[in-house]
Amino acid sequence: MTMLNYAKKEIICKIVYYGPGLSGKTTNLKFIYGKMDTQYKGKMIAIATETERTLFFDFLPLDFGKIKGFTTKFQLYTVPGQAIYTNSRKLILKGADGIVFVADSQIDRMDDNKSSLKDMALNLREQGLDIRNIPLVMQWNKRDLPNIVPVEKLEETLNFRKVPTFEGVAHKGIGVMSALKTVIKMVLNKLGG
Amino acid sequence: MFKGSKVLQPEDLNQMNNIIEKLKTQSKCLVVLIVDDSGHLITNTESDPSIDPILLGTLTAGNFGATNELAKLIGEAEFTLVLHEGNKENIHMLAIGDCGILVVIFANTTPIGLIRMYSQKSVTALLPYLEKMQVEKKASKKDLPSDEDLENLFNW
Ligand SMILES: Nc1nc2c(ncn2[C@@H]2O[C@H](COP(=O)(O)OP(=O)(O)OP(=O)(O)O)[C@@H](O)[C@H]2O)c(=O)[nH]1
Ligand SMILES: [Mg+2]
Repeated sequence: MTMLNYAKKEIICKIVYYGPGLSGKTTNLKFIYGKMDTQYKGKMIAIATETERTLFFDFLPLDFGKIKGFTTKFQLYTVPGQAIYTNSRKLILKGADGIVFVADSQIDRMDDNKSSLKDMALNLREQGLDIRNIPLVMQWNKRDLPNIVPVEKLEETLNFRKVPTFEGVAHKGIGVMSALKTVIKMVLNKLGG
Repeated sequence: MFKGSKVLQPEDLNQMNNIIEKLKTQSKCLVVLIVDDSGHLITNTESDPSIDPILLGTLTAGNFGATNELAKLIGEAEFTLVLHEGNKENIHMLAIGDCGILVVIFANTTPIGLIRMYSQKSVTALLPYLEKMQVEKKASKKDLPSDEDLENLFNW
């Protein structure tokens, strides 16, 4: 849940990157970290296994400074995608203001995309949030790989809300900043709407 | 349902700051932080610049949440207290109802009983302020960056 701090004139929102294991959530955060000027970012942390799989979460705080008299801050989190970590995902979703769902475009990962989306709906509900109205964008990641599902098929299977979607090649930064910017706009528009 | 935002008013922040400053003096601890249940730092006492309070807040909230999952696993409703002991410094975390966490970092030379007692007292004093924050209010548009502001912020 957004924190509106009238004492410090500061707004803090929480954005969570969700999706199946290895879909590229951590890669999104790493790219954003690399792309942002130092003035806009804090320290990034990754709680991961030795093989770089997210174990609990990644965290990247962004600070856009004073715009319109209030300092605007976003805290980006990724969840661990592996199926067994559903309890951790639930924790990370607590108080989420917006979601970037990172799907893996590869044909053999479609079932994992679908179950991750279902898992997200349930976990959101447990936090008192609703997948049908929380600010959400989707990224069809790994478009550079050979055996991928056509975008129309991804839209049809996963984008039940017709939210904005982005084709992604996360390690090259394709579709990364645009997805972030869009979800940020959605969060702010809802907050002030 | 609309989950708007939590609102922190200047006078409430002042009161909370007084409570944690007092806690710091009385318990002789090093740093005190208040973190909300989604991991946002609400406020903290001045600390060693090498400690990043935002990071500390996020990690303690995650840690506290994970510990409470453990509690459920063994059939406890919750653990209200989490303690980490280091070689020189310790971290004491106490739930503030179900709205947040009071985090106290203290040296090994400080008796834990002191920390425990004053943390407990502070939690009682802090709870009404944290509860008051849960108003789920919308923000005023004039305080928020517009789509255009965001576009112009930097080269996305
Ligand atoms: N070819 C290709 N590889 C990618 C792309 N995005 C990420 N990867 C690679 O996929 C692997 C997994 O990426 P991560 O970002 O760690 O995946 P994750 O979603 O965080 O995975 P978990 O932490 O297990 O949930 C890494 O080796 C990335 O370099 C992409 O667009 N194309
Ligand atoms: Mg990861």
